[in-house]
Amino acid sequence: MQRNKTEPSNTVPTPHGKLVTDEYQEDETLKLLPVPKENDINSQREELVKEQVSIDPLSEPTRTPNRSKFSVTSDSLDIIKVDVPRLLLSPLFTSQSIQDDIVQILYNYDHSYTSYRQGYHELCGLIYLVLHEDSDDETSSLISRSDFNKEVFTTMINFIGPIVSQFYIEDSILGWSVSIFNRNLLLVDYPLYELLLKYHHIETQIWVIRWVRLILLRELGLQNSTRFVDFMWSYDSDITKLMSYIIIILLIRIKLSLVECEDSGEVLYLLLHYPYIEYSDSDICQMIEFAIQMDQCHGDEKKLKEVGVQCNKWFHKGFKWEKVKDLGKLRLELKLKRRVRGVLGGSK
Amino acid sequence: MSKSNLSKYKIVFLGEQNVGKTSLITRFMYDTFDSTYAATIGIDFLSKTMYLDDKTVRLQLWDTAGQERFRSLIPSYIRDSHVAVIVYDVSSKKSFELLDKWIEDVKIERGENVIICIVGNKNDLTDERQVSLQDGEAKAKAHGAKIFLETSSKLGYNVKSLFKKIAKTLPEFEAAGKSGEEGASEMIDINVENTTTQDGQCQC
Repeated sequence: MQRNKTEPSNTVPTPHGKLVTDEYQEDETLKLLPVPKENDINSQREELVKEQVSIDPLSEPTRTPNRSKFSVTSDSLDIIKVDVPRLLLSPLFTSQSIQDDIVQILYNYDHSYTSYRQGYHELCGLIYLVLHEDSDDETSSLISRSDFNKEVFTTMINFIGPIVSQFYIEDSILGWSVSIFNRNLLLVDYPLYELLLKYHHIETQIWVIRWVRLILLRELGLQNSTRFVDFMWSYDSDITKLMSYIIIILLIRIKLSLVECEDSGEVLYLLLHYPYIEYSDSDICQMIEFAIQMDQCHGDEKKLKEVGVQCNKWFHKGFKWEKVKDLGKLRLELKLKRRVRGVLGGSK
Repeated sequence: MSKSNLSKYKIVFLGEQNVGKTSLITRFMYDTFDSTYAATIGIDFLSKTMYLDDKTVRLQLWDTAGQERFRSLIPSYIRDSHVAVIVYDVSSKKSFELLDKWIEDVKIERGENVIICIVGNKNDLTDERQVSLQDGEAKAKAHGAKIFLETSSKLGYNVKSLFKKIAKTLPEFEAAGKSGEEGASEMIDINVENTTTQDGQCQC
């Protein structure tokens, strides 16, 4: 199923996002498998026998529809059952029946596509919430529980495919961190690249893994994240590039705080406890606009740098960012300003 | 003293999902406990300045995701660590059996250059216990762990003690620790902090 693509001009985010593609059509033949009971799992377990295989069974999961039913391990189901009650996106998920629904959807995804990985549960939760809000508005009485679950499952198949292939497979995320994210950061904001990677020696993959795997849910909160995701899915471009630009823009937003950190521990803490703010529509639109501009530079170094400077100026007024080459010097200036403010404040 | 001038030590928390790594750290950092924590994705990072025996160090606590075992990112979390705290859930035999793999991962990456600490968490779940204290101690001894403790993040039991013991293995405190505890067993007496255990709790 192809994702619905629209032109950039149509990408102003909607309040709840548009995770559901307009092209979604209910598959009458689709039937979600019931989650096996403990006894069923035990009876499915087979005696261990040597078997020649062509693919390393410990290799990363790949997007392979219709996995053999024997490839669904009780381990996956155990992990799913542990994770789903820890889904804290909304009070809705404290309901046992909804938890059962999520377990069934994740179990079916594990069965049919890729082995369950921690994080899928939050992506599934996000889809469930968005569809739930939509159905509340329009068709709640017309959709049965099983049809609703099928809709969540189908949306999930479309939605998390690119995320899984790029951000859940470790070789991919390592490659993405270095050759896409680090490179784009270097081109957009070299001083920030130097601060994080050369001065503090913080490997991008250490902190960025949660940002990308949960599509910014933990960093930005449900409402903000949904609006960015809506943009990324509706804008006709490579999501992995867009994700790197959006993260760079979010880093520029906290650049002064990053600069003021005394050591790499403080930087890492800040990156993993991103300061929460509820963005206005105009904030989101402006950040999306910067991301589109960066994307449309098509790797042109000079243009990317110019957009980076504009972005810095928008977030942090009063600095001549085009002339800032050394963030160490800026750190000293900021410290001095803070001290002066402290002295002035103390003398009053 | 400026934070940047303090000696910093990286302490990485490893173990299967839902054994209580995040809750242990949260209890230590904020002295709070929630019945549910969101699953850790990748890592989380917290740091805390610890004052002990007139010395001050900064502990950098790396909380990892339980499902990352076998994964290539784990070495980058373990790298440069001074202490590896490997946690199991005393009510989950499986989490205990999988300790071996975690310890192997740590030893592959750090060799002998890391203090291994084994923690049996959730020891308040007396009725659901699947791993005895003796089994935990035996495993710790077999792997040469310097510290073994049972803890309960929920009750706050042994959590402070755990971090004190960890701190005492660090170079800043090691000399003092050795002179004070010469000849003492490598195993920590879990009864040193017994004010918050439940009545009738099995300690054997």
